[in-house]
Amino acid sequence: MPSLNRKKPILAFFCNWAPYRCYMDLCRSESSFRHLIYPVKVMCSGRVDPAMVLFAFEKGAEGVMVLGCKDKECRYGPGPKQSTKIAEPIKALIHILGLESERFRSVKYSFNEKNRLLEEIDSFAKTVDKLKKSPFVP
Amino acid sequence: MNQNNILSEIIEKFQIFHCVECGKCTGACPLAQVDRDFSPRLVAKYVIEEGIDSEYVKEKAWTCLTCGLCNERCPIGISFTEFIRAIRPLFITEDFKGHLSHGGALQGLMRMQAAPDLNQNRIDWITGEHKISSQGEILYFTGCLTYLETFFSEMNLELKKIASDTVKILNSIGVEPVVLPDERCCGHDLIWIGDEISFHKLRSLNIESFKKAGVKTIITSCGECSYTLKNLYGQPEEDFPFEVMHISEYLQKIGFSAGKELSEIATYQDPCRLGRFMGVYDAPRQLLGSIMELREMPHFRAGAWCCGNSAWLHCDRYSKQMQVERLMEAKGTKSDLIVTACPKCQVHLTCAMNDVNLMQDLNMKIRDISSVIAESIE
Repeated sequence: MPSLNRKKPILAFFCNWAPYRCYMDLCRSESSFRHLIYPVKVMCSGRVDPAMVLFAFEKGAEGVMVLGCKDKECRYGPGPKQSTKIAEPIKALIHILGLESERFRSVKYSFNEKNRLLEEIDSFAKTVDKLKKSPFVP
Repeated sequence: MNQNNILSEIIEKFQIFHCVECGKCTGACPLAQVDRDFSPRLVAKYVIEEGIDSEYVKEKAWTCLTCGLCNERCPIGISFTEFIRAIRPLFITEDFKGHLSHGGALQGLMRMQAAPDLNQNRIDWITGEHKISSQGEILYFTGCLTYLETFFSEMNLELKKIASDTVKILNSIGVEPVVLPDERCCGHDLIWIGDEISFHKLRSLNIESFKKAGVKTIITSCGECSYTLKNLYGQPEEDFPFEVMHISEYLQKIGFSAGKELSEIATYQDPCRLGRFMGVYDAPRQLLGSIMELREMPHFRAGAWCCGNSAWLHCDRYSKQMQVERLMEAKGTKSDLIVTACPKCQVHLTCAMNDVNLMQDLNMKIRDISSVIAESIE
């Protein structure tokens, strides 16, 4: 895994369809955000389960984002609903572990929302930067 | 020393050579009843014949439930489960054949608790009605209850209530136990999946906080925590001995008499760690017997069947089948509820009750022994 050029690494799970498309569009036009996140492409945001998010935190991620398509735009059906369902338990679990629940964010996008994605990544990075360093050292 | 030599030493230590190949272990094994490929006898055979390269052992070392029923049946007295625990670290290789349930999330949560600078929020169940202290001789070890309730929030289990009820029972007899806000997982599941490094980190962090609080007796409400703290934590220094007891053992020891009688009929599921591993069969039965009618399932005490899983390994169709059969036994006693002394039995059996096809036949109330006793003294 290439090391992130950032003191507080953020991992972002991108659904292969709308969010990754936005990400690619953004990569063509912008470069200011690239150092902020470490992208992981998955076929659907419903594929991301709590184990993967917790593993990211265990390995030193300071924040984790799950970026999926909007509910009715999923190519497979129940994916976004699944990712919404896991969000609350994950926040509760990391809260018990002593991490702030703002460190996890689950957001939904359409194909044409690259600017919203940029804003979201920016604001998430700012939120994470304000928090203390996570106690988990890889 | 290479892996094969380490394995030979373990074989020597647990006297696997003494196996007479009678097959009683396989005959008794609850997993072998449903999974015809699994046989403790064959594991013993192949581990001697083929050593570390045996494909059979590589796979079956992980499917074993470690419930300990084979130990009870072995005429030679081989401790097969302890043997499995000893060889598992050798099989954490790139060719790992085990399967961690829930994607390994639960083991991950436990490993994360081994981080030294942790500031957990694990005692949010404590309210004004609980009397606890920060220093004292008696400690209540809550274990993973908070994590499990949150993780299995879909199942609507009231696991934090077990902790709350245990403290209430202790308060009712005038004990104000120490409850540590920075307590860590006991590490049971990690040592049983062969992760000794994380286990020892958790162990030393826990022992350090026990020392700080000046603890002499530890009370748990979970069979696995009792077993781990008692048998695997050892007595690290001579000047810091501590006694470990399950809540039922403790109440029996001090001659606790429960309050009002409950009208329900119960059947008791023996957790493997509390029953076969620690020999605590009578204490929970006496306590329950004094407040309600208790009926036994066909397999009980040392012969009790497993709840289908341990250490969050291999939750598969065989586990489901074992759980369904166990629930059928419980249903057959015509009891109103199953009482157990281990939160994990509760998680596993409740999960099986949610089976779409068998929901009507299996649905039954399941509660922890602490909650039942707390209800009787209210």
